[in-house]
Amino acid sequence: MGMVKVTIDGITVEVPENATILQAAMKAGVDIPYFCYHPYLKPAGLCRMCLVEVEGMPKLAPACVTQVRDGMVVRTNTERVKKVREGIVEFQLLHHPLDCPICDQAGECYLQDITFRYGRATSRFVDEKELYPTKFYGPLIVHEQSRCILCKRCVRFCTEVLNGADWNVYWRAAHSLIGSYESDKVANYFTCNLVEVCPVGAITSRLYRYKTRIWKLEFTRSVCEHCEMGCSLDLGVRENQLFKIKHRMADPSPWICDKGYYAFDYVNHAERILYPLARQENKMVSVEVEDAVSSIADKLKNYGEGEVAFILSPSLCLEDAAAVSSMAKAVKGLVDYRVYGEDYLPVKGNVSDIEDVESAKAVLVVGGDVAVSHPVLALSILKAKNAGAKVGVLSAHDIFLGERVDVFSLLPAGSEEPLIKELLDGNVDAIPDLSDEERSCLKDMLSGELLLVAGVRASSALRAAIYSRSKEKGWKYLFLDRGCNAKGLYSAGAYSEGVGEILNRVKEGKVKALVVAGVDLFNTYPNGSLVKEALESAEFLVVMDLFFHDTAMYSDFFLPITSFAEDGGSVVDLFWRVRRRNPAMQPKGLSRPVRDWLALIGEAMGADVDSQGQVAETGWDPLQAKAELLEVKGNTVALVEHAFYRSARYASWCSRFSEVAESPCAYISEDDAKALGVSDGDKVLVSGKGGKFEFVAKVREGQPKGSIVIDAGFDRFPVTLLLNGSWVAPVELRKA
Amino acid sequence: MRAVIDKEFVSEATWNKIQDLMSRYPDRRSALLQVLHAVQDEKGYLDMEAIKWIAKLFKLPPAEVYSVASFYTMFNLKKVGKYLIQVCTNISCMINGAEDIVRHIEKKLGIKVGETTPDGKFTLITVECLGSCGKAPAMMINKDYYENLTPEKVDAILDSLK
Amino acid sequence: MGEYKLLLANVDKPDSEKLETYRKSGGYERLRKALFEMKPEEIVEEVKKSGLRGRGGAGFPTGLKWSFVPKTDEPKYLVCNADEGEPGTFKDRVIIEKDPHLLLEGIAISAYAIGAHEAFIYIRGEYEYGAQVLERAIKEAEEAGILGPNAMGSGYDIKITVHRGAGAYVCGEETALLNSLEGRRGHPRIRPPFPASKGLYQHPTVINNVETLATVPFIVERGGDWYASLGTEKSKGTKLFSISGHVNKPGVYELELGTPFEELIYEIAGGIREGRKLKAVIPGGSSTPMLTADEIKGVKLDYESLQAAGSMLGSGAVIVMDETTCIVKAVYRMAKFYAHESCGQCTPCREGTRWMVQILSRIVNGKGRMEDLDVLLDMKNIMGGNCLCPLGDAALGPLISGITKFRDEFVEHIKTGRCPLGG
Ligand SMILES: Cc1cc2nc3c(=O)[nH]c(=O)nc-3n(C[C@H](O)[C@H](O)[C@H](O)COP(=O)(O)O)c2cc1C
Ligand code: SF4
Ligand code: FES
Repeated sequence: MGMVKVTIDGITVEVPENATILQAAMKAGVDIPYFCYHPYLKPAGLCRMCLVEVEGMPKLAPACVTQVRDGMVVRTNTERVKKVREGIVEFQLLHHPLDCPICDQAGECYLQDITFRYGRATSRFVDEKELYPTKFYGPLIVHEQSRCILCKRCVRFCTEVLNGADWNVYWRAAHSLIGSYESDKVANYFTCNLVEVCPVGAITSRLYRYKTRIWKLEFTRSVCEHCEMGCSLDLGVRENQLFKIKHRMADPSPWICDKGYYAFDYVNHAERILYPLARQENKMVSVEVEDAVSSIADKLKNYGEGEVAFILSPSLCLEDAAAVSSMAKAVKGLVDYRVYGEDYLPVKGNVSDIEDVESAKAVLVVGGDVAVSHPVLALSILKAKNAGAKVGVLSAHDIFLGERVDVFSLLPAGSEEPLIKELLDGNVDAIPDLSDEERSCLKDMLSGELLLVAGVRASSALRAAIYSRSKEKGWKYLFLDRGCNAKGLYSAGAYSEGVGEILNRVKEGKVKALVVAGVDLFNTYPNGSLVKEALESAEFLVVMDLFFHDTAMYSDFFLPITSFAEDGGSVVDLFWRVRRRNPAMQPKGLSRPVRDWLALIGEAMGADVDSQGQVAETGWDPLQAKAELLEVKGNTVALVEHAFYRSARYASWCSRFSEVAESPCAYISEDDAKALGVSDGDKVLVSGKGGKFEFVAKVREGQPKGSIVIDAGFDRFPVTLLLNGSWVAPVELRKA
Repeated sequence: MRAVIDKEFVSEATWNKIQDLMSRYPDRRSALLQVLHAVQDEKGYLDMEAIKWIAKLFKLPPAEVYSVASFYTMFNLKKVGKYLIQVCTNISCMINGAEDIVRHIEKKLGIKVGETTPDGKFTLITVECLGSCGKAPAMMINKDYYENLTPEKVDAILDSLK
Repeated sequence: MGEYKLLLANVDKPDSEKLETYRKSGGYERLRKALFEMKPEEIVEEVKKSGLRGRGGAGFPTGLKWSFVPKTDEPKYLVCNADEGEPGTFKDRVIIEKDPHLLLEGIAISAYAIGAHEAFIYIRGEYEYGAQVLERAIKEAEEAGILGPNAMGSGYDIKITVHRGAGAYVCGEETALLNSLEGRRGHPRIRPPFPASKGLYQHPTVINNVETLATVPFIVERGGDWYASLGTEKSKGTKLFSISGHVNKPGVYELELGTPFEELIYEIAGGIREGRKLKAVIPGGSSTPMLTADEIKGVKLDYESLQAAGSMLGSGAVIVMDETTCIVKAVYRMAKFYAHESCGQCTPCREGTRWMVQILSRIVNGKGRMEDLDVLLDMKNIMGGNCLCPLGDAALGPLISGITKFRDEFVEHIKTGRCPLGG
């Protein structure tokens, strides 16, 4: 790329020849005000705030869309520019409610800042303001049309990044309205980006509404804990309360998802347990730290080899994992983090960056709903598509990505894996419900450069098949893991034979003492009755967590731990990079990180607990997988998956976020719906091994007959009772 | 996924017309306005159901179709009367008495601009220049032009509509 | 100078819209000549020589516009702008409804000249009858082997498609038109890139007005030099004028450019109704600044003369207002039009047009303030040249000229709270 010289207000800078005046000005350190420009959206030239004078051009030029020329001379400090800026600001404010004192954007509002800097002191407007009522779009966002400056950043985000969504501009002229079509909900997982891109207070977070003022918050850089993307976040804290999360760095992507942005208020939740508890005569009572530590140490000391086990959340930080591993070694115990019952271990993919995904020629996603497990990755895949890649989604469940790509089939829940295996063997016809166009596209994808993305549901057997096929064909592959730090836990050696095996041994009495940290097994492990039996059989149970959840009910000791906001651990992301958090607030009450508790306990036991987590890149070869492809038969087969709004950590204690998913749904086929006489929104009953559950039916186009998908993750709704170690099980479906 | 579209939503003739319209352009989406016209011609107006159906036909989010449809004034997104009276009040018609024509129709039908008669027969709106400035004042009723209007002429026209 | 029937030569014939009628007067022979005897570059050259300027409003030299189309292999498109939305304009409708084959022939020749095989006629939604006439004409011509694949046996394919708009004046602006043609909101696009390099579907595209394209067959038939001999030194050829308002014989007249303004009003259009006095004229469609009765004295109807008089030839839509017209109300009505038609994308146009209407409505209703006039005049500094497309500037035309030329009338409205004309 050639470089050219541009002079702005007397400052000469060198910029690439395709740069805009605005970019050159940024380099020159000259402030050009703007509203509609956004560094990660296509320049639109709508707001006209950035008009500047260019020597030799009769009209003022919009700096955001005007390309530089060598030798160009730009002036931003002339009387003409000043007048126009005043005019544009005045125009923007004509019908603005001027309600800064109650606006959550105040303090970080472009309109406020630019008015102060470039506006005129008084207004000439004496007419009636046209104002609009406030609109709430579900529990997460609120739109104040009156404050909207129609920069269309939000709509452009939906068109350019989400490839279309239920958010747009309607009507025209001064009566253009922004919003969702028809419903009062915004049905996608990325609405927080609307809040983030809106330069004014038109779209704000309902979580933050009227809570505090931005300038009262102190921000600390951290890393999201909801998935392996490890999005960089800034945590806004005031008086040791976490009020707001912002995404200020395009790391790894300029966008984040609603989990990362909204699912944090559990940190401040009143139900958090902040002091150690011990069971005394069937009641949990608060005890001193020293007493808890010494009692636990005394207990653990007495168990022999293989009699103690540790089950960890895959979202614990690397240092915690190292401490647990080291403790497990000391007591010759077992440890595992695969609380979702998965039988695979992390494998390093052969793409090393999100840019590799975005520049892929073809991407095929199998075995999971990426937009739920790794939301931002779904946006990168769309970016690849928009750059010309062919994209396919073959999965038993998908809400977001499938309908936006070239090839999409919802596979029957019970035979998802064998079908994908057949496809990998070259049998494109095995995939049901494809149009001819899709079929030939899929064929092309398989015969060229391909990136295969294995979703979190893909078993080790399927992963082995993907791995070997990819090696053979020279494809790229990427394996997704559950939790935000599975790769870190694996690196720290925090795994053995699997959580199922540990639970079985507890049930059989072989493992006597169990330590569960950071997870409610009833919510995660796909066999609720096994969890129950195991917890009942355990001789000694220590639970370390934030909340007194169902697993904690069985505990002998409960130790309060810190949330991600109070701790400075590291996590290993999807691309095997270590990402470090900084503590944004003081630990609440007597909570402390898992590793600190273990250090105390270790000290009391006379064992040395090491918490220096090291990252070992890989070691496990997926070809070692012994398991078979998952196949489940039955008249009706159910896939149980956490609903997006219940898939965040501690979702039950995230007030507004979890509210978005009001009640558990069952996705059923049109055929089944017809046969049962149910229509969308009716109640259906799903019964199986461990019980009977009521769902709201969602009749879904493309859903295969005899195959249903049901939501997990709802409070007091233990659908894991239906399962037997995998997330798929035969069930019966009836009209309620 | 093979999209299944309910052909019965429109008459066979309209369905065939839509197929023809959609095959005319190098890019299918170009036919959107024409299909909106075709469906409106049959249904009289475009309700949410129609918008959703068209969205599915074009594989677009309904919000996108609604966004497009609402930009253009000729698409009725709410129910209108059997006869949509559109009186031009722009400059050439205005200076030739368009306002009197509007007032006359208001009085005759007992409705204000923007309203529909209780029997659902007439909706009265004012519109921008219709390209009849040489025969001002002018109006359209549904798709037909009526020009050089006088109150008497308007009476005769409205009375002739069943 | 005066009336000259070139484009309107056929329109009064019975069955003028039929292929048979059209062929009788030499129709499609110009297309034959173009396809068989001329290279595309030669046609562009003739059109350049003719001095033909765009008749849609901006008056850009047509041959020059065509020569910007890159000589690449990618698909190219020709779009005929039949949106005819500028208030006061109704000239294209005559050609469309009465002589559709003339337009089709012009389109076919022009498409060939720029290397396009596909052309679209973007016609305003209200002209449904016109759209039907065009579709029937296309069908006739296709069945006769004139249009379609291998047009007239030349080996050149020409497909013409009629595309109806749906009620949006801004879609007459060429880039908004392209978006509308792509099935989107009629939002004007940022330029550059210009349509000639990245237009419809991001391919090179030429957009021309109906009248412009309908002129092309005559240039091919009789040569650029012949066409250039009509009109004045700089404004060549003939032009359709739509004259409306307070004249005895409103209608569409074809005049040689350079015809005196007064000849059009007082002779051709029969003078002012009921012997009243002329007050003001809008010479080229509602966006062109209005001229007072004095200002049109001695002015000729051509690009340069009208510019010298402080206005524009525009689309040739002459709106005549006699002494009974309240200029304040007229300006208010036109402001309402622009506020209604603004696409709403860019701040100055969207907010400026709305504010204009709010202020003018107050003045019309007797609640005006003297400061209002300063604010209205200041709109020019904020909007003028600063909007994304020319619609914002268009809105300033009647406003600024109205206030500056008829200030007293505005002041009287404000001071007395009433219209001096009783309007
Ligand atoms: C707001 C606006 C409306 C316009 N409307 C029309 C129109 O209705 N018909 C037309 O031919 N040109 C219209 N134009 C001009 C076109 O943008 C374009 O210049 C013209 O179609 C080019 O054709 P020509 O070179 O043959 O005149 C309009 C321009 C603007 C800015
Ligand atoms: S809501 Fe915000 S982002 Fe959207 S157009 Fe309005 S100001 Fe812009
Ligand atoms: S930032 Fe340039 S027009 Fe908005």
